[in-house]
Amino acid sequence: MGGEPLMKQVFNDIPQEEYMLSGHTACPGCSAALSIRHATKALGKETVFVITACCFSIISGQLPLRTFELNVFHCPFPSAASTGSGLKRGLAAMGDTTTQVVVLAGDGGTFDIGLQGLSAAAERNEDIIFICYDNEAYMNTGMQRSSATPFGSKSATSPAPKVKENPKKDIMKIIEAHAIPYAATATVAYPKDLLAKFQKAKTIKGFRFFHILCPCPPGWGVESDQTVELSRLAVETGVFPLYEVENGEVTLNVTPQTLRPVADYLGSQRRFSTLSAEDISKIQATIDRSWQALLNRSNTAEIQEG
Amino acid sequence: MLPRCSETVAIPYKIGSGTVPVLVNKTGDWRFLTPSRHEKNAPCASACPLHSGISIWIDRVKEGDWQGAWAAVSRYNPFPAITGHVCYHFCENDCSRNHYDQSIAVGELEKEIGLWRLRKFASGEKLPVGRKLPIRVAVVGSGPAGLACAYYLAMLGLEVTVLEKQPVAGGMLALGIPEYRLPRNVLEQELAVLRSLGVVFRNGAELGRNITLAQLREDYQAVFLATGAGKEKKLNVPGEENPGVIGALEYLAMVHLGKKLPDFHSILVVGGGNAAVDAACTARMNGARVALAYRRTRDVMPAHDDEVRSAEEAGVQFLFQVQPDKIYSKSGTQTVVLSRTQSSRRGERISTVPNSSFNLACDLVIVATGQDADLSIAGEESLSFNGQSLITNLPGVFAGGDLISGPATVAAAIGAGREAARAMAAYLEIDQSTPDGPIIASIYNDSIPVAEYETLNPSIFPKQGRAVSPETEAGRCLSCGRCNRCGVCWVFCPDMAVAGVEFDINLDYCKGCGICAKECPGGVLEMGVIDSGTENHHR
Ligand code: SF4
Ligand code: SF4
Ligand code: SF4
Repeated sequence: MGGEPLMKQVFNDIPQEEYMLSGHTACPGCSAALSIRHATKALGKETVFVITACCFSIISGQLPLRTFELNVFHCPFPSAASTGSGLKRGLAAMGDTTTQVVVLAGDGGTFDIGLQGLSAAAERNEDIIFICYDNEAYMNTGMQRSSATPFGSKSATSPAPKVKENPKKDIMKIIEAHAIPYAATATVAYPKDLLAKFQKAKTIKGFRFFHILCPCPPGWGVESDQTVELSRLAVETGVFPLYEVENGEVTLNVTPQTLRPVADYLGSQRRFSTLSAEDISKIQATIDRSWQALLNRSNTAEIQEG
Repeated sequence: MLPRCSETVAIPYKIGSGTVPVLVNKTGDWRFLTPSRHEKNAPCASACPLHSGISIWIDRVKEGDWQGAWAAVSRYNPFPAITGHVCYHFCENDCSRNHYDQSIAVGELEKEIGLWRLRKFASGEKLPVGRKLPIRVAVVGSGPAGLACAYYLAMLGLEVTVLEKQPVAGGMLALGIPEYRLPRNVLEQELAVLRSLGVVFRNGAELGRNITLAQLREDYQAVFLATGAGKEKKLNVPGEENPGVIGALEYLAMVHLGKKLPDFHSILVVGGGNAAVDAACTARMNGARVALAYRRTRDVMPAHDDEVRSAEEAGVQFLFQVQPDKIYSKSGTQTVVLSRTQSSRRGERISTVPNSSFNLACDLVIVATGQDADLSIAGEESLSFNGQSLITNLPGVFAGGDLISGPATVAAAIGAGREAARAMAAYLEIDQSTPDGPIIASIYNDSIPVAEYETLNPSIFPKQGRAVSPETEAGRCLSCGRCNRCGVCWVFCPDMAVAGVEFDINLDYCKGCGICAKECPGGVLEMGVIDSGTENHHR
């Protein structure tokens, strides 16, 4: 008998402390703001953010305003990981070994402009957390394509009919190749999973990497209320599987018994409006292949759904 | 913790962060649409014939608060142990969670609360009646409608007399419904609870025969007529008046009254409603071979599907698309001439297949082709009803249940009894509020919309079937249409505009993204244009 009623768990399972303030200037429905809000709940007050050029340069408040009740350090575009590394070592030199240095970068600052610094810091196994919140284009400067923009997506620099021809770069594979202690994907549709991953990452020493998919209403051409739903659909369709890699071991965190068709995910996004049926089956085939590959590599599934 | 630069303590190093909290930005003025809470009817409550406030009492079960659950459920339904046993749980068919994993076990939970209360009663804990009023009221008929009305009137402090023509109280609960559906000790305990409330039962009192409505109107300040629909319809075929042909209610009543019946080896039941199936199952349990003849196909049978299935399991043989033309009676054997019928929907005329008749021999024919209300109860008084209304043309005389609606469900009858009590209290100008809340729940408002199922987030609401523990099972309820303080809106607001605990929305910062409305499991939040000074300056 007993067992806690499910409904009560929703509120009680999420830490109530907030480290982000209302009044920030993220767009309505911004899933990046929401994801980082939850990340800070897990990271706690002993956290300093290093923010490269990205939406969060703005969201975190233009001086003298502050959005975070945490320390923030802004840095140039390519240098997120290097600045984070330096800051962490500086703190250590001052005798502070407990503060978490957390680098916040968009997909541009991770996949493209920040890649060299990121690779170097990962290779040195710097003791920092690197969060890539990936909204799949340079949204802050006007939605130009990045190497994180998926195949078939429109953007300011890949307008219809010349939509993006190349697939999205697989940043997790690149990161994994550095043999770091911890890397994970997350979306805010699974807040408890996201929180648990940050809580776990906090306990690990060395380079830790987060790849968070962040649906963006203006950039993706969706309504502001769709971002959580799309974060969920990305997982349920296998577009963005939730998994973690610990010292090379892959654990799938959410394992739908059957994947939903990718059209469910693509359908409502205006950036994909020019996709043909043929394109969609091509995307579906790619997803099926990579999902199978992931299943083959992974350990246990923690959440069974479907 | 590392100090912020805004703090002027001596620190060895300083990392940048603004000095002014971004709270000065009242980003609420970006908003075009505003979320607001709109309570709706839950699909379960809307489907429930007595419109029970299911999610309200389930909330209490969730907390393990059985006293609170009883207090809440009894405002809608004083006999949850009875409905928990006999109701077909229309609520479960419409439960939102059917769209996701499995409906909430509303019936089981209801039964648990009822049995909990009966155990309390058995251990000596009486229901509290706050006051006694010197007002005498009569309830005619002790079926579910009459009993429910008597319960509420007694709780209001009135002196209640229940008149019943049969030697036992309970109406259909005692004489119609088979024991395997309603264990009689449950009914007996409910009757004992009513007696403990001061309700007096007078058996053998039949309106229109040994008492008159005129007399009741003289002796009592208000009368509730709940005599049911006990007049059985005829087959209208030759041979029907033979002694080997009997109505289903009459048959069930004889069995339940323990009357000695001859040993029937084979029985044919004619009809397709619940009474037909109940009679068939009861006959089967008494050892007879039983066939049930229905003139249409199985899919349009009016009997509840669960009933039909258990009849099949009990070994009742079903003959579909046949109807009797004639019945011959000879030395205890009935020969029924049956014809095959063309397929038809309910309400359509039946046409038989030419030259398809065949004979079937049995010991007894049970006719269950429907019931009507017996209106001879009025006697000399010119009683008339007003549609489905509980109020009659005679002041102080109320009527409800199957008498008004025609044969319906136990739950509908209980609901009618409750509404009659409400109407009688109003007529007698009795206030039904108590320090612990009203005795009767507020009236169901069917003009507000029914909450629609919203896609659930499996990471927050794990997909899972029914739980064994009542508390956990109750925890699966989404409290559709009513904010249950789950906190989902708080979890998913990117602007921290939903405050914890009460989940009020701070319109200074709500940008109107609509995520909370989309994710709210109960469908309580809606986005809409609300004109206020702080918004819509972009228009
Ligand atoms: S989830 Fe609860 S409130 Fe909603 S329909 Fe089912 S029982 Fe009723
Ligand atoms: S999400 Fe939960 S707390 Fe918020 S309005 Fe809906 S039911 Fe209430
Ligand atoms: S989620 Fe927050 S910002 Fe969005 S509509 Fe609801 S309260 Fe407003």
